[in-house]
Amino acid sequence: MDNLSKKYLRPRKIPSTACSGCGLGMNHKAVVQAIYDLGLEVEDIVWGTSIGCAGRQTFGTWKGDGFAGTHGRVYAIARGLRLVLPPEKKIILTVGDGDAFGIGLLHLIHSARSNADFTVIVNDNLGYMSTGGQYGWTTPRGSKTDSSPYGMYEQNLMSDGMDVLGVLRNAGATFLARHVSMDGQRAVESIRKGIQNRGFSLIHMVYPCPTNFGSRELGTRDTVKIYNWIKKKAAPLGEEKENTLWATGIYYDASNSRREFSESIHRNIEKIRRTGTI
Amino acid sequence: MAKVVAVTGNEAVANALRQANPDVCAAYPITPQTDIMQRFSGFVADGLVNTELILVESEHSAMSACVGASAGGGRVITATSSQGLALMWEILFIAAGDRLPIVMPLVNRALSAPLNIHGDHSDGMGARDCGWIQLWSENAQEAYDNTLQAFRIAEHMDVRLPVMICLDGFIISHSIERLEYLDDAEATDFVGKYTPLYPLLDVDHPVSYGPLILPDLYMEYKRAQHEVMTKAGKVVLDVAADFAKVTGRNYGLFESYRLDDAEIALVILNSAAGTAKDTVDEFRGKGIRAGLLKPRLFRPFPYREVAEALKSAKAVCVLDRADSFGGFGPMYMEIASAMMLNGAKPLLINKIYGLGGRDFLPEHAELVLSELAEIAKSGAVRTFKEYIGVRE
Ligand code: SF4
Repeated sequence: MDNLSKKYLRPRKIPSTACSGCGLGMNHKAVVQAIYDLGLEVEDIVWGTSIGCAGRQTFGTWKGDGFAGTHGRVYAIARGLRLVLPPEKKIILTVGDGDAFGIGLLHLIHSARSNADFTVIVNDNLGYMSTGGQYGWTTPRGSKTDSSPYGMYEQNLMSDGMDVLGVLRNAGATFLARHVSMDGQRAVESIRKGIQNRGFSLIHMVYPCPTNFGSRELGTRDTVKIYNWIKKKAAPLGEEKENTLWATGIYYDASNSRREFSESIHRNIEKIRRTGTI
Repeated sequence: MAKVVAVTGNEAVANALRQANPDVCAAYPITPQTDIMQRFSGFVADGLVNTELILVESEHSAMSACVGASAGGGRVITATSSQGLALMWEILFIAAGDRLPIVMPLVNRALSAPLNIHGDHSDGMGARDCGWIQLWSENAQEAYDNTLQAFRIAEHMDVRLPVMICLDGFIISHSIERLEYLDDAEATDFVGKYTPLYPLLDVDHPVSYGPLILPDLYMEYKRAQHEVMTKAGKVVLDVAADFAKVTGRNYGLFESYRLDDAEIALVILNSAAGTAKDTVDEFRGKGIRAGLLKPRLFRPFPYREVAEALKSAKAVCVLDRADSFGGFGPMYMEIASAMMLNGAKPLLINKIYGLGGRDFLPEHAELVLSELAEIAKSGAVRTFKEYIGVRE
């Protein structure tokens, strides 16, 4: 356990229950590093988790306050929580792609619309991997998974000009970034900016799943193979190549430009009470 | 000829679904059910069924897609567990209210919070009032047999209601057991062809599903739903009789195990009933008249028949693998109601066991049977409802 983990995480939860070679730990570490860089303490943050690999492996790891939501509902819970927390308290959610972009997408969009102040880290293992490896809504086209033995052919949120970050931008998100787990310090910086935005921030972070995605798509659980496979398909924004699936960096930064959800409610209600009008 | 194999409960159920060859399947993964839909999607990919498979974004959407496809005139399936069933809850009522014969295996798992992926019956019991027929299964064989029979029951013209087949998460879904499959031809023949009733695709005869019905008619609609449930029990028995002809395996509304002259009796569902039967045998060996009743059809509940089966018992314990917090366990309440019907007044106690996958062991059954023997002798009950196998 490194010093960062000692400071912020519960010792009995580290290492997590993730499979060996899983890339989720890199994402997890980037989040903790960003928190440290901002000088935040355990009591400054409430950490929420969802269901699936990302939920299970990050749940209960934070030394401070935390909560587990049901599949897809953690954003709705966080909006409720935001209304009662003091504004200086941060909410960080570590969730999976199935959670954010599938079962919970409606709540996610309304969190973006209302610019609710929390930071969502979408840990994307390219499908539903904790249930054995079914394709999801960001699984690259053509990928073999248990539910797409001939290759994933459905429209998804990451191909043919579609981008889920575009959906969220149009819905009102004020900070959006995309990374792969090997991005290291660049990812940490994006997460840091996300946390600093008083509004809805989302960082989409692809990570390698050797156990289920790697074994189906690449025919091997070899960790290095899946790491390289992802790395090759990632490039910084502006430096994309033909085969780039994940252009990495900050997609949209309108931090602190729009009134935040709870602040808007509190201010308006106070004004209506005082003046009878908005 | 039946084929004898060693398979998990999930594999057995997936094969029953394959043999029924549904028109549409809506799937969403959830532990411990995923394996059923996973295997079924394999059958689709390998061209072994003529099913259109739709992978949806939530269980709410899965059941909604089932409603659409079933109203359209197809034989329709899905499968779920726990939170998945909880998320479907709204649409479960629509499926039943619209009289859509959807078939759904439910691999029983505990409900959040706290999160737990292991087997208990809170999910199925929570869906008690949604208008679905429920069949419960002790082992993989029963889950397979119940699944095949479920199509016949659901699609029977006197019923036309959705059916849920319950089996214990992990304990049955993931354990390998000996199982007899029907031949594909035999199974397909037993299940029969699906005849749609009022399908939306019959454009010459337009119909509306689920319109707004206000106080002037809503109650008549619900009365009709109640009426059809009173008929379902007979259909369940008729289908079981046909099934026995093909397989030699007999099913009733419940299983009576050494109940005929029993003075003390357990009522217990699913896999734990298998464990408890051995303990009942041990007590019989000691000359104690013990017996066991294992419900199979939970909705509609066979009150009169259960009351008749338990009539000789002086003391009965209902073991629930789910709790109705602030009340008795859900099965206890059914058995208490059944006893009212024939005026029998056994001393009736309730034990809550096995929540969140906690093991139910023979010594638990032994403790309960010993307590019942004591109660039968003394007529005194120490406590009516109690958790067992729990740290206090
Ligand atoms: S299944 Fe894949 S994503 Fe999940 S913990 Fe294992 S390696 Fe990581």
